[in-house]
Amino acid sequence: MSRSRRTTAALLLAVAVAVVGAAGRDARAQPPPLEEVKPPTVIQHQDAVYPPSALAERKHADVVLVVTIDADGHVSDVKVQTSGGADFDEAAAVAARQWTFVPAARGGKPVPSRIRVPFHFAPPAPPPEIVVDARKDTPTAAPPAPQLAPSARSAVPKDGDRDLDEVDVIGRIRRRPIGAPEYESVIGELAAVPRATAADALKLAPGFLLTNEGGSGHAEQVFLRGFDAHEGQDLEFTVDGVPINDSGNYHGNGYADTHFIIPELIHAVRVLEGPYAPQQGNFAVAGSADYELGLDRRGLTASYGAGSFGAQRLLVLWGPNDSPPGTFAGAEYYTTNGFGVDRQAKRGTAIAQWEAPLGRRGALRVNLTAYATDFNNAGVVREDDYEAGKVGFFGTEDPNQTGNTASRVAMSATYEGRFSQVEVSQQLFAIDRTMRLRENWTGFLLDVQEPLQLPHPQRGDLIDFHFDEVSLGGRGFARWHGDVLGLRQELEGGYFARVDTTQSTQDRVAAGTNQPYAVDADYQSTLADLGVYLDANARLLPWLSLRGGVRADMFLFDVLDACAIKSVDDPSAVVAPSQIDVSCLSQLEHGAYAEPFLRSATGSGTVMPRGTVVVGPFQGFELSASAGNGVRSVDPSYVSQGIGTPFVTVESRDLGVSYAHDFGDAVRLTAKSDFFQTHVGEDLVFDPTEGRSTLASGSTRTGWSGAARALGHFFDVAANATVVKAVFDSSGACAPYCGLLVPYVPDLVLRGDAAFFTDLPWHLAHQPVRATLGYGVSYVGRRPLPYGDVSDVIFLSDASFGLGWTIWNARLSAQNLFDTRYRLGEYDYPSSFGKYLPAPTLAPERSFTAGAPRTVLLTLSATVGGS
Amino acid sequence: MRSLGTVLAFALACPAFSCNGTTGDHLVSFSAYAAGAPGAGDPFTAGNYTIQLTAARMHIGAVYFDEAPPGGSGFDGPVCIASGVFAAQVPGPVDVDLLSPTPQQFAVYGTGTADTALSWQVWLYDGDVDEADFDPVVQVEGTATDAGGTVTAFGAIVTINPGNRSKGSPDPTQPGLDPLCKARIVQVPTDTTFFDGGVLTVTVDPRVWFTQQEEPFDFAPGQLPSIADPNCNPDPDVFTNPSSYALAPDVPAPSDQTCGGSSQPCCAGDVCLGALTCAEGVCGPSVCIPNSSFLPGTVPGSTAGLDLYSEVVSAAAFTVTYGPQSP
Repeated sequence: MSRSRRTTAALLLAVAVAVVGAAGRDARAQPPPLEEVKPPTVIQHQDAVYPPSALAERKHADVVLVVTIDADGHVSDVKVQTSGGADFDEAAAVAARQWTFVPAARGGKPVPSRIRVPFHFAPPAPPPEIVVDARKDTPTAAPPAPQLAPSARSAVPKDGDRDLDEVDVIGRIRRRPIGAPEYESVIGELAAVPRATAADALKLAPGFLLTNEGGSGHAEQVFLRGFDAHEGQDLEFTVDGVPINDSGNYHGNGYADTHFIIPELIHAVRVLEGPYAPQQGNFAVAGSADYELGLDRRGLTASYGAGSFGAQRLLVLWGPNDSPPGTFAGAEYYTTNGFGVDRQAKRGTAIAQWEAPLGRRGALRVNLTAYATDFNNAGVVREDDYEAGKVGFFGTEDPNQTGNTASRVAMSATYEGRFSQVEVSQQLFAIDRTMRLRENWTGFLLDVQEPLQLPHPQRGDLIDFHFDEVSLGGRGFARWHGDVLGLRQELEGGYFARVDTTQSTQDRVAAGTNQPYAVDADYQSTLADLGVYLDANARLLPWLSLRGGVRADMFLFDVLDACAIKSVDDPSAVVAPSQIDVSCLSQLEHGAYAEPFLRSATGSGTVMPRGTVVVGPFQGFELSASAGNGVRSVDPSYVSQGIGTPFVTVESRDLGVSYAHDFGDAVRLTAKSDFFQTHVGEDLVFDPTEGRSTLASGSTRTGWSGAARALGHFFDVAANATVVKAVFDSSGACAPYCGLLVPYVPDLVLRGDAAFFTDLPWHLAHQPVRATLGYGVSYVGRRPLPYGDVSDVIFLSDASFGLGWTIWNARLSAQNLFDTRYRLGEYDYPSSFGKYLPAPTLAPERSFTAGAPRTVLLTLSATVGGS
Repeated sequence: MRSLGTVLAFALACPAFSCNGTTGDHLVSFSAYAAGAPGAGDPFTAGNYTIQLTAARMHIGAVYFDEAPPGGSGFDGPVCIASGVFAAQVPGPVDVDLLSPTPQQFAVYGTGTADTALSWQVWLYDGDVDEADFDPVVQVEGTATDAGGTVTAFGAIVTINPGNRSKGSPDPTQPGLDPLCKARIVQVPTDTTFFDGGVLTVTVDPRVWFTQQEEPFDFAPGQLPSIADPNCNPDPDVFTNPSSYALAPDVPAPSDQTCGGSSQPCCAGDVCLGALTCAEGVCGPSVCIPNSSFLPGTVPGSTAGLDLYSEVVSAAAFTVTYGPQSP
């Protein structure tokens, strides 16, 4: 195929990403006009054709055109601003002249405008994500309708008698994609597939299974590529680079609650499966996921939805017309009675983000987020109680798991700019997090009689957990790029720094009185993580690149265990009556007393090489082989217990192939296939009796994942699959897990998403009616459970149907469309919810958390003042 | 770390041949029964007496099988629910007729894992093992015949509750040292490996309660309280009375007599069959083995009551078998 690197790339460059526009601003810049200026929007673009004359040399070239668009939206003039050579200039100009636009507007009237459109030419047809200019790419296989952002202050050179508005493009600097293990999923039209939470968007990448045993405000438990990533412990979550994982959370170190993200504000999700990019930091064991926020629909959108189980959702979104997608504000209020006992929830979220040029060649993005939720938790149901009719499928064993809360207030500021051949980025963030969680996994089992305690019956195992965290940090990098050996090369150096002050307390609460009677944990910690990395993209040949480098992380722990002494060694008669039954009794040997405080501090670092060899692309195919080491810090409680190295390392390997092809203008097809193997030095296994994950032995995952997506004029279809086997090490300090399967992780996960959209063949009041149909399907194979047991399969469908007319949109969505009764989480462990039983149960039994039944939501929305 | 070639080969084979493996072990379920020992209804000798039990009942609340040996998992301390790993359980009750060798099914099936238990626990109570409760754990009725042919009808009721079994901690700094639950759990050694679909049978031999006594019970007149004596049951929270000791067999009166066997109605002054006496309108035993551990030593039967309780909660009477389902 002689076609060039897709002009799509140029389109992407031109309309979505980086700061190139700022680079073009000159000294003639003027203050913004008073009248509202709307940018031109691309209606149709035409790919440029790679000049046949250049094929022999297989050279790359960059061309920047200045394109003048008349008031009718047609290209009236094309000038070469930066030449890539005569043939390349001509190819770019030929393509650009065929583009059509919604013309720019000033004061509501169409006006001529001028934009810059950079083209990058590479010899073979590559996947789109590696085409884009690293300065400002939007590496996506399915680009959204572009929004051009006017600076509204550039000089307006005369062109005959017409005024021209020069348009600046604001965007973001992105890391160059790794290859097959990396999935960037622009939601785009797939927004039609119902997604209840931001975490659901992860399913666009292969292998994800999400469960939730802790209520709708509790972080989802994530399973990925054979990892039980728990509530985020093995997956690095960020939102536009700002960390989501909690450091030092006793409930789960790395706990990542993504519910603060309004799903409609997710522009794209970038998932890198495996630790292959030097930019990936703590918790990137199974990989990392970064949410990119953005609002494509401009104007003011108000939406109200009501549906099953008393659910109501009010959503307000605002995207100023004269701003890029990265500038928006959104607020959400959601309430539901829940689909069963003790599943009531309500939440409120507000996110505001402002993105604008800063200086001549930079852009600033400021984000403010506030989120609060209150929710109840039904917890687990024992299978035997359900079968005996003692507890309903959607019931609860303990009705006291209520009053759970979580909040997040975060602020971040990100500067991105370009100075000659160096791009820089600097981000600062501050986060305040709280959560309170009440869970009862074991009923009445753990409150054993201690000699020092007054005689008592089992008082119940309800956990009342509280966590506070303040995080301050930043990240930044400088990236040089230039030509060496006639090829474009890149070198990036960057850092990540984060300091957290945290407090975790966990009490046991007596059934009936709801009064705390014992303290399980009380940790105050100061944690620091400093990472430094080098990342290179060395292009040895036009079809051979080495990407990667090295990262070093240092972790610092300063932990105060305020409940360090939980039993006495040699009790004597001097124990005061008031101290009987007190948690953390401080008596030591021979009646001596000590305060129950123990301070532990440790620090350690690790160096992690990461690299990928990229071969191709050849006829749309690109091969990649990746290897890298990752790291996960441990929970402060282990530091308090004297663990020497406060982190766990992971080694990962991937071998994959990517494919991208445009079938004319009709269909864009992308696909990936990837084999992987990952070894974790010390894995975590969920321990229901503690209500959290605890350290186990090393483990290895081996498997395959694949994904494909096809985008056409009226459809967007994506599918992915993962097959994996996860086993514990069979040698070394592996007991009692040696050679056994890692429990809970599914060995087969299939997911499909499809959206169909078109204007209906009739009009209403002379306005078209647009119909959208979304469908998603998930299949999760049997998951191994402890004691050689296996779970049921999960097979679910979600669907929606929407109609849009003028400013109005109506959407009817259904999750679990066929009302399948399924067990979302299944566990085998001892529990004893005594009130239902004639005697305690001490041997392992099956328990489960119920999956949601069919949930229908009807949403009406209107958008005014939009472009 | 295996090579990428291995990764490739495995990943290709995995979907084709399914990824096998196990997390280890597996869950099991089984039927559970309790029964009396064969011959328990036959006369036997205990000291100077030939004893014929006419009724013997035990309430078993649950049984649990611990992978730790006796005394392991901290069970020899004050902990009643040990922190160890339990291989199997039958967490439901059975009221077993100890004179019948016919298996009597527990209220629930047994469950567990395919593991070996080295000790097992008989919970002589169901519900919260620490809660106060006054229901009988053991009820016994029988006759004791001395060498001269004198027959004494006796009865016994054993309860385990704070009033009669919880001695309290000897150390005030450790008030939880001797919890009531310890008095209700009998730990027995075993070596039982569980598999799915088996049958568990718990056998209790009530004769042991009489034959294992270091000082055999003395049924001579005056050595045990009369059935109507408050010392039979000094615990005010235990609602038993003389008629409660009349259990079985329910023998109708012969045509030439006005009163029959145990638990048959009678009127004051009537003569019941055998050595039974008429009290509170029913025929029943004439003397009791007291239901208390704390009777003063001067009270008749005070030692007998303590000795009977000690044997009831000893391991000697209990055996367990686990085998395949009978065809």
